[in-house]
Amino acid sequence: MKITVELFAGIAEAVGTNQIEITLESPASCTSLRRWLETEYPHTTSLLSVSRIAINGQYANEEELLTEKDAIAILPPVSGG
Amino acid sequence: MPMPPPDSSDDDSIRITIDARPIDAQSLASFVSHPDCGAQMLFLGCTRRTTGDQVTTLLEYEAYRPMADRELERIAHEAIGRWGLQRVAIYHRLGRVPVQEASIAVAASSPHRVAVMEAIPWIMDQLKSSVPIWKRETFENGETCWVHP
Repeated sequence: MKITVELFAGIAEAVGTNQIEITLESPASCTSLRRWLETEYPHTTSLLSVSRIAINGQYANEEELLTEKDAIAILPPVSGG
Repeated sequence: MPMPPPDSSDDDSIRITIDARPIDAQSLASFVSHPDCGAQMLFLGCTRRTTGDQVTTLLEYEAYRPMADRELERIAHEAIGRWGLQRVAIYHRLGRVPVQEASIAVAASSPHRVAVMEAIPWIMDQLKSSVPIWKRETFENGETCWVHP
C-alpha cells in the first residue's frame, strides 16, 4: 500500500523534505512505518524514537493500522510557546 | 448568514488563533473581558535574547494544522471545565518572531483571581507538551537549530 507521510521541524530538515510517499506491505501499523523510516533514514533514528505519529490529526497508538486514505504525520517533540 | 472568521471557534467562550501577524494583546484582553468577572489575566511569551552564553536573534515557528488548532481548542475547553473560567483566548504566532516580540499569548477571565492564576500556567504546560508547533532558533553566529526538548 502507498501512503503519504508529512514531516515537520527537525525530522523534515534531517530527511530533506516535508512530505514523502512510501510503499509498505499491508497491513501496516505505526510500528511498521517507524521501521521503514529507521531503515531508510538511519541518521534520524534518535529523533524518530522520541517522535509521535498522528493519524488524521490525532495522536496514534503504535499498534494502530494505517490505510492509504489516512493523513499521516511524524511529529517530533513539540516546542511551541 | 455570514461565514465565521477562520480563526474563531464555534464556542463564544473560546478564541483560538494561529497566525503570522504580530499579537495584539489588547484584543485578547477585550475578548475575555466580562461583566461577571473580577479577574482577567494575560500571559505573553516572548523571544528571549539570551540563554546562558548563547545569543538568539530570531525564533521561527511552524505548526501542523489543523491539528494544532484543535489541540489548543481542547486545552482551552479543558481549562474552562477544570477552573470554571468564563473565557479563554489563545494566540500562537507563526513564522519569524524577533527578539522581544511575543510568540504566544494566553488570556483568561473568571469571577475570582485564583482560577485564572492557576489555569494559565496549566494551559502553557499543556501547550508545550501536546500542541504540534515547533520553533527554530537562529543564533548570532548564524547557526540555526530546531528545538526538540
